[in-house]
Amino acid sequence: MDSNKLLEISDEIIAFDPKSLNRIPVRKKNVISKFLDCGNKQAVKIVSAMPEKKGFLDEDYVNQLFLVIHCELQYISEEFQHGQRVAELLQPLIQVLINSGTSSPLRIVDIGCGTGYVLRWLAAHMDLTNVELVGADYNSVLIEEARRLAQIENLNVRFSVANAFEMDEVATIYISTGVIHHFRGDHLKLFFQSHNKEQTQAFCHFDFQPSIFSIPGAWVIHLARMKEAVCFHDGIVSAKRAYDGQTLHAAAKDISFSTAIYSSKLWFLPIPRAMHTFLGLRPHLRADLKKQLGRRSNRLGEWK
Amino acid sequence: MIVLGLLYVLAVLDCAFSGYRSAAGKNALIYKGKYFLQRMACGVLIGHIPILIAGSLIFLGWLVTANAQLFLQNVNRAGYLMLVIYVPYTIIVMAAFIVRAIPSVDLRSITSVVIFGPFTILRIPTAIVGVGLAIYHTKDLVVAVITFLVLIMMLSFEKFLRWFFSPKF
Repeated sequence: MDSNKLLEISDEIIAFDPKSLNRIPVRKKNVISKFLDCGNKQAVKIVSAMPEKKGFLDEDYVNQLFLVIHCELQYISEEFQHGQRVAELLQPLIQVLINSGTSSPLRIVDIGCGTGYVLRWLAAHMDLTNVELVGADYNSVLIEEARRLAQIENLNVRFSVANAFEMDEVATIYISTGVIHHFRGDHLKLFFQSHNKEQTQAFCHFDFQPSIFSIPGAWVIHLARMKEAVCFHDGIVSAKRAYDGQTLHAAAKDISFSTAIYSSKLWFLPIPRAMHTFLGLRPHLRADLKKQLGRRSNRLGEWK
Repeated sequence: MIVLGLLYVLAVLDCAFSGYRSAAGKNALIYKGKYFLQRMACGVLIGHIPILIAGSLIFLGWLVTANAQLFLQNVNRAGYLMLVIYVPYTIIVMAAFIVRAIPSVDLRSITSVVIFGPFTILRIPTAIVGVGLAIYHTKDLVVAVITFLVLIMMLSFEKFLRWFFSPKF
């Protein structure tokens, strides 16, 4: 199936006005029609069971569903040590920027942060003197929850309902997890072009890596861990929609960053990892990053 | 007694992990070691209800049977056959925990992909195979019924915990 016809339920049941970021009511019938057109009976069944109000999906239900989805996603992130994984790449990256004299505070912005698991983990476990952690997401319910959770544990993170690229405070490093496969076609190019800001020095986007193992692997893990039907459905679809390194490089070829895939294989073995990282860096910083990565520098693919 | 003792140990372990799984994915805080420990302890505590029911059923069976010695032999035989299936499963899962103790993102992820994920899915089929084997080989109807009831309790316990811990309003 054409990967652009693979739709995730969580993308379709919620909509925002791109300018104001206000919620737009979603007509249930339209969502079902979309999935019928794609021949996705499982999604049709799941969406059909969702409550509606006057033909529109019940916003309170959708809000609650998104909180459940993000809690379950966090469970998988925790099991797969995603916080630690991000930290292991950010630590040397931050050192590179400090060495290069990048003006502080360094600002790490998490695009589509959801309930902010990655940033909250980093705030809880890393020494981040002179580093600001900012999470951005369109979904105000998720951002409220992220703020609440950060406050409970007294974590130094800020969350904004915003388009990460249109915030007043520009990121020094943009990060994301499981976000880039949501941008299809030209939107992926536009996404990378949005990084072209003077202050931005690097980006690292973590996402599924397509391989012969990715779909059966996603199936097993989501079946074992996800209780919510939407999570299971979207988890499998995400693995199917994931981009390979070549596609990511091609989409980012016009930007003023050197790009590389980081951590695509397991150690020296020809076994692909479940997730890879699309890394972008100002060209003059490449040599120092290799040095700072130390023994992990062999995980770095070819710079483009 | 050794067989029943081992089954008890495995049942307690299963209750603890059921407590963990029923709590996982429901708390989005970062620091939640205490939360998981509490849920595991609750799993073990509540899990003693079905364990006591199973023990009581065996005791009742022993009281009413015409040949108490034979009944105990049959219970022992059924328990042994269940252990033949459950012990290797438990050893593999516990070995994965030893690997997971190594502070490596990759090794820990591998344990999830290769062991914890698939073995969570395999838990129910494993439970059925163990009990099925015991029922198939026993010649005692009472033992077969008790073993079947144990299976029902094993399969429904995690669902019960999830219901028990879910908000009721």
